[in-house]
Amino acid sequence: MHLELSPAEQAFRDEVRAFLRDNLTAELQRGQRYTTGVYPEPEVSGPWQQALQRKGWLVPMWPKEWGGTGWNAVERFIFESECSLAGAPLVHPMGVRLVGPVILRFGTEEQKRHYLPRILNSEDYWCQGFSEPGAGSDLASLKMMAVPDGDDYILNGSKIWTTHAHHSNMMFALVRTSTEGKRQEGISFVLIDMKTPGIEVHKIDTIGGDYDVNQVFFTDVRVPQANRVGAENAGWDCAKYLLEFERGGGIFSGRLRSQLKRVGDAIEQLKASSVNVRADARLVARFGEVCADLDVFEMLELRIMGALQPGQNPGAISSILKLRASRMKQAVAELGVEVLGTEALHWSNGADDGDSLLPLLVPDYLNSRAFTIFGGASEVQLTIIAKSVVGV
Amino acid sequence: MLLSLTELQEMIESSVLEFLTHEYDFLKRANSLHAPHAIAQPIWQGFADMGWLGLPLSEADGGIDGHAMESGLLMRAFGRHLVVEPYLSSVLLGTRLLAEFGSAKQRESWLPSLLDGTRRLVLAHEEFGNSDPWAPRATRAREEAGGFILNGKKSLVAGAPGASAVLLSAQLDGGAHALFVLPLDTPGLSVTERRTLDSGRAADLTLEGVQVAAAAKLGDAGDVTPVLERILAEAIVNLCWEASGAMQAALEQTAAYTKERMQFGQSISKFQVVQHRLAEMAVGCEEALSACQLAALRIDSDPASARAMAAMAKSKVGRGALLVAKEAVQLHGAMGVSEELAIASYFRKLQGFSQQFGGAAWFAERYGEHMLDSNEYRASRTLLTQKGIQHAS
Repeated sequence: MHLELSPAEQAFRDEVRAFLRDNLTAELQRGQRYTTGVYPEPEVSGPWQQALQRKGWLVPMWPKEWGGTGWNAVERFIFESECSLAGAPLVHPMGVRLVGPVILRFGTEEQKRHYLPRILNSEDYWCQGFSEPGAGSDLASLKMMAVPDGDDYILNGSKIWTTHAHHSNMMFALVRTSTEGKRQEGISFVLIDMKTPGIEVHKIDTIGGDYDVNQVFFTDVRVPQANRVGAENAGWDCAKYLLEFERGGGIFSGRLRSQLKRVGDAIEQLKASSVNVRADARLVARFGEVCADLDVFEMLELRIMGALQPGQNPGAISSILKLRASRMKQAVAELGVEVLGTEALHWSNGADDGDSLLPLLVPDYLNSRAFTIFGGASEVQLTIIAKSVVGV
Repeated sequence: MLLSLTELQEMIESSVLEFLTHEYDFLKRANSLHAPHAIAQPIWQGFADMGWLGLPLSEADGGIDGHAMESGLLMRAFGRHLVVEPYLSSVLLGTRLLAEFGSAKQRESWLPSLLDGTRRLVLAHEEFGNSDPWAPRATRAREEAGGFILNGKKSLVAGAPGASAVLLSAQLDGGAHALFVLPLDTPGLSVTERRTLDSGRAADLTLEGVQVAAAAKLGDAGDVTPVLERILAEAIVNLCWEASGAMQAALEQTAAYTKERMQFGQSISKFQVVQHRLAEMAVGCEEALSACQLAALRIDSDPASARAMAAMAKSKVGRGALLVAKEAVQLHGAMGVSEELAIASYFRKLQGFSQQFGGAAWFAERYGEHMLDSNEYRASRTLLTQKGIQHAS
């Protein structure tokens, strides 16, 4: 084993850096830097995605014929790390990383030809209709009905915790098309135009003060059956495939490190106002622990992702990455609050703080509590790890 | 970048695991525990025959040119099998320091017998009340009449019982450090044998006006401190590798046990609370291995990073080792505190590891200081351009 980049890998990194230098504007960097919700707003992620698409770098995980880059796992790791460390906006994953691969794997030719170019061109902004009131990590217990009627389904029910539904024109959703047999066998995967009559999006106020999530109500909503991906009642296969991408298909270490940089910047800013974190041995040790944890997570992620062939996704081991990434996100955010000390009592709407980073740390911390809940709660990941990795 | 093992690394890992599986299962291990000084001669001779007694030495010195990754893989296998023979103190510290600092004459007179297993040399560096592995030592060496007078105390010198000599670290007049080769029967040196938590053997040494000839000083280098610090740091990383092997074995044995153990009418592995604890252990094991790999790979590409990497690894593996050790005993129920099963021995091994050379919290503080001073936390820790050079963006 060795970590030194080969000349070809170095050249690739230089190419990524050159692209970042030429395309990542200060405005986009600032947009990402001041994001405390899960994803940046579309006006931040959108222009960045368009720049990536112009370069042909928006969908590294897709097959080459559909716009993929053909990068191996190490190149993907380099690319993601460089983008995160440079402060590039997060690509909105719903189209690119989640529904895109599902359409590629299970969709018809017609669905591929219609939807994939629209993802690449940022024409569609997707949201995920999985969770329902009463069906979170136990996704198979979902109840929202889709009843066949001619060429359509008629949808009634509600989806909840739908991130950026208020920005989205499309939703991919799991709906119940049968109540017979095993719960998993009565579910279908459908694509829904959010402008269809009968859909209402209601804002949910959350702990960190950002507007991220919604409850979406469906009353007699007509969705063409042609919008179903895969066979009727076979949506669970699509969901499982998607969840592996959601849990482990991303590369998180670079993003976590850029969060840690923000905490480091806060330490510098506090030092300027004569609050010296270095004087507190306990805080220095905590900083050291978080650094060690993150270094190790980066190595673990590289080791797991680096073993993948192009197009492969990591399978059940993605649960280890999901568990650790979400706990790391919380640990870095907690460190930010610890560093603030009593200043963390201050609650700001951001309006009067100029360029100060300090007011961002508390909302970021509050929102971070969601990371061990969404995408399958930590307890669900632990059960998967016990079964698949430990083998009990 | 290469994320799989090299041919040499594969060879070392498979041969050491094969050797130990055959010669060192938990029952055969008793041969070592009951042997004089807890060293079974056939086992030590086996290490020599396999070439492991020269692992960290260059091929020119008769070794196999193993660096941090190679010695790490060996130590991980030793940890899996709870090897009690003092490999780290004898080979990775004693032999290695002699090869590094010894004069031509010292190397010539020592290396062949250290490599063939007929003699052993261990480092005597730790002192009671000084848990910082890098702090200056209180043992003094005063130059006098063409030789040196040594005074001081060394505590829990691993592997000292039965060794041919110790390599004693001492502060010279003027503050520089030197190493002295000191046979255990040297007049004025008293040796008290001690047992260690992991079933190994050690000794406390007291030196009162010990007179040695100038030739007892290792080599003719000036201050040995910087290299000694680096080699100690690498030894700490090797200890982490050993712990990672013990953690993995403890996890596997615990998982197997929970599948067999019936309570409330079913095997306890069916209870979610048990599954989640096993999963936390598995995550701890994966992270420990990654910490060791990262430390070894960075040290191999940039030896100057050894102290920082030792701090990183000991902070991370130290925390994980205690988690795994405690859960392993807990999930074994009362059997976990019985010496009949291996799990109690794994617990003592991992608890000993967590104390050795300083605790996890102490190393976390060192790592935090290093990161805040150097700003290295701002850059990727895995994407190395060459020889550890990083460009923070």
